[in-house]
This record gives sequence, C-alpha cells and structure tokens, in this order.
Amino acid sequence: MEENKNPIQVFSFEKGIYGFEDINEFTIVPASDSSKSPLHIMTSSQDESIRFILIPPIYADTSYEIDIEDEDAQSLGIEKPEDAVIFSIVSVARDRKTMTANLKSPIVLSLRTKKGKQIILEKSDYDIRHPLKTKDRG
Amino acid sequence: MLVITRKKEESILIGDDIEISIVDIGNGKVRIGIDAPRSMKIIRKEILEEVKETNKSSSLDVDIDIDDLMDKLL
Repeated sequence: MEENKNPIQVFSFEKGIYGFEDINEFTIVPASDSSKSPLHIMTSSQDESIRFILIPPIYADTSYEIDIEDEDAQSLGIEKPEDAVIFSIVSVARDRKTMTANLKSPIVLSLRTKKGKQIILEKSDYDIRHPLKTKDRG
Repeated sequence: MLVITRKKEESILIGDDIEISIVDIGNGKVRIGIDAPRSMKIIRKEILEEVKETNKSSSLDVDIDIDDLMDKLL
C-alpha cells in the first residue's frame, strides 16, 4: 500500500483561532511536495483567502517545550504525546524579508480526533513574535 | 459593568468557585489573587489582544510566494 505523501488533513476548530473565532475548520497541508519542508499551510475551509503559514516551533527554538493543560488535552482528545502535533503561526513582514513565529500561542492539533485549537501559554516567556533565521539576515 | 470598591485583603466571590482577592495596592498597581478551578482560563487581556492582532497580521496575502519564503528560511 502506497502512502499518500501529501495528505489533505481537515481539522475542526470548535472556537476558531484568536481573531478568527468564526472559522471552525482548517485544512492543513505541507507547503510543498518536498518532504523536507517544515512549512505547512493552514487554510480556512469556509474562506480560502484566510490562510496561514505554520512551522514546527522546534525550528524556531530547538529547546521548545510546552505543557498542554489537562482541559485542552481533554477537549482535543489527546491521550498520549504522539496524538499531538504543535505548530506556530509564521508572520511575514511587509517587506517579505523577515519572518517571525508565534511561540507564545501555538496551534495544537490532535491527530487522533482531527481537532485543533490555539492555546496561549500564559505562564511562559516565549515570544509572540520570535524571529526566524532567514538567509537575508545572515 | 458592576463596579465595587475593595480594600487591601478584601475579596469578591464570583459564583461558587471563584474568589478574587486584593493582595496589595500601590504605585498605580493592584496585585490580585485569583482562586478558581483549573479549568478556568485566566489570561491577561493585553496578551489575548496581541495574539489576535498577530494572527490577523499573519493571515497571508493572496499573492504571497510560499516557495520564495521557504528559500529564505535556513
């Protein structure tokens, strides 16, 4: 059986994400066919003009570690660490030269239930705009 | 909105499980203690607003070139 290398994955977001509370379903796919690409694109199923770039936070901070609260794990149906996938939303500067990742409020996905939500790590010191290293910046 | 005056060390009960107490007052600041069930999310409002704003500004332009962005990332 051949594995689909570019699976379209639809996740339900009961409460949307912050600022987009009405968007209750996102499609999340790798940004390119290359399996090396860490970037994913998250697109609203309702309105395709609403889309975001996602990056695994570990690319921004190799020691990134979060504690998913019990209520969040429960509402997402995350029973074990392997059920969860964490992404940060990437913000691209207007000049397209610099990019930041939101490490403070990651997107948490449950692969088991296909549910997702954005959580805010109130107690952590992670940045909402953590600079990503880019070639232009050297 | 209900506005109540409280002194230091006084508190307010909200429903059966939430207690908000005034721990300290001074220098234009109030220290507040909150006793609430763990399931109640307590977030400073300005952080929530900043996350909303960041999300809005992170929503991609239609014409953005993803391949170009990936090239830029190390």
